[in-house]
Amino acid sequence: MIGLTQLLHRIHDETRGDVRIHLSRNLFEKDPMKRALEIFNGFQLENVSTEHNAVLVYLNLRRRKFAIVSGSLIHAKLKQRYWDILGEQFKEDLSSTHYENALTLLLYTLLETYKKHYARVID
Amino acid sequence: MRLTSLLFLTTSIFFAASSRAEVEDPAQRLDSVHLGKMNEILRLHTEATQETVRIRLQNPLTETTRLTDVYVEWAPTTSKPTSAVYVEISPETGELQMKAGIGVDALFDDRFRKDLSKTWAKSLKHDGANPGVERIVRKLLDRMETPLTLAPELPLSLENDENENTFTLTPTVRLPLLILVLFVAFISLGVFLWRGLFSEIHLTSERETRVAPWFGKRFSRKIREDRDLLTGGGIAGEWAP
Repeated sequence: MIGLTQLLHRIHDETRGDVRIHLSRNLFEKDPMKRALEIFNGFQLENVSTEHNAVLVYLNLRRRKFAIVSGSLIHAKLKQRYWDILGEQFKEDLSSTHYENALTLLLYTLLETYKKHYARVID
Repeated sequence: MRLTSLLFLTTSIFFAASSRAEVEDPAQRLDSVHLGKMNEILRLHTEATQETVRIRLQNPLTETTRLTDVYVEWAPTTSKPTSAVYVEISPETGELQMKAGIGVDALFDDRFRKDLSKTWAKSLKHDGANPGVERIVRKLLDRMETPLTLAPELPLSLENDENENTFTLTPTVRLPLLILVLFVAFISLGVFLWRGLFSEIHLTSERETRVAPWFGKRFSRKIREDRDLLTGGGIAGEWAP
């Protein structure tokens, strides 16, 4: 978990993006996307930056379900296909390794994407 | 060999001195095993509370005018003189009189004293001295809120008990402590359930926070109506174990 926090910190420092990870153990959850949207809007992540580029990674560890929700502008910029591929890759990683490792890989991918599109300008 | 004997003698003297009788029966009217049990109960009570209870069987009883003198002479020898209780009972006439230190005197009002006298007289008449003393001990300790758990019924018939030497009492905790322990256990269980089963973890670049499972539920209706309204979009899925 410390490694994940460090990676999130790195994304925050090196880019203008903002990634949040939300872990749940709700046994009765049916729709992870619905819950992810609730969290996304609960924290008002759409408006957390003027560039509307926040990403929420939602994981239900007990039901083995996940959802990735993105802000409106980053979604428009990267298109749905990017998220589909990212989701597929994430699913494979989750199936083959521990969820923390899968999250680390996902965060690295997001870091690279953010670096490409939302790199922080150094004065 | 001599050294061993000396050690044994020293130990015996020490134990004899430390196990001073709380129930005195000079005329030996009580059963010895029963007497031992009563002494043990009262000794444990004294150890736990420093309140000494002394019950003396004698006939006739000390004159009422001299009872205070007897008490004043004895009480300073106890560990807590202000909480010492002295009870005299007559195995012949069924009379009872008592004197208590200022620290516990308020516990023994006239009604209680009359009740105790009545209990002793009645027990002596119907059951004999042994159950009578036992009932007095029980009533006294109940009133003094002993931290010992006395069995609901101490064995009145002691024939089978002589060899086993069981005392049917166990040290226990005081009620407030029990409530405190239960409260802490309840809170711990609550925290465990909350952290382990219900709460959700939200990780940001700055910190890790716990979020209630009902967080963000107010958006449920809006989300049901139009999912794209509040966000750009995303992807969902599930993975195999």
